[in-house]
Amino acid sequence: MTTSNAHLKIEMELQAWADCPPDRDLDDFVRYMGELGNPVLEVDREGRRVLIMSERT
Amino acid sequence: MAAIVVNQGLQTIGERASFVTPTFGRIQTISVDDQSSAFLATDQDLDRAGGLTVTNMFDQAISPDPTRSSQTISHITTIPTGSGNFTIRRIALHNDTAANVSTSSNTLVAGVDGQSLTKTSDFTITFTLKLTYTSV
Repeated sequence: MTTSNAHLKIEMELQAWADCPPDRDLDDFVRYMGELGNPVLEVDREGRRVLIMSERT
Repeated sequence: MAAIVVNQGLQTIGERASFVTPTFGRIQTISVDDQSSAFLATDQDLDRAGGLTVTNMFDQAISPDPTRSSQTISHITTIPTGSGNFTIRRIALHNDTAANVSTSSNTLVAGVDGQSLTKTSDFTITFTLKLTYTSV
């Protein structure tokens, strides 16, 4: 028997958000991420967090 | 970066989906480690039965519980300030409790490798790892 849905694909998506400590300035935290060598992909100012990894395969 | 669901992970998923008397536990733990080698389909543990040196590893329970939206299952964990403070190169899912996961436990389900994130005790990191199942 042959079906049109013969194969299953599993995709993975990974995100990592660095959370700014409550007592730290967010812009200072963003700079700190850069100093550590972590990529700054997005800054969520409302959530006070920085996206440092976003991958999908 | 590469991402893979290892053979043991496919067995875990198949067992759970078809309600086979399980050999493996459910997916419930996320680990991070500093090993630069890529995952292989045949890997069952993080240190490849002693063939790799995983110097630093941290694991903890997925929290909150995994959720599903359409064909995507989301797994989340937040690494606390005092843990995982090294260069994180791999992130993995495991099919046992955090207490039972180690670098040599045969609990590996899936992993993402080829990363380089520097974690320090100054902050927490929240990882979200999603698996999307699609017919092709």
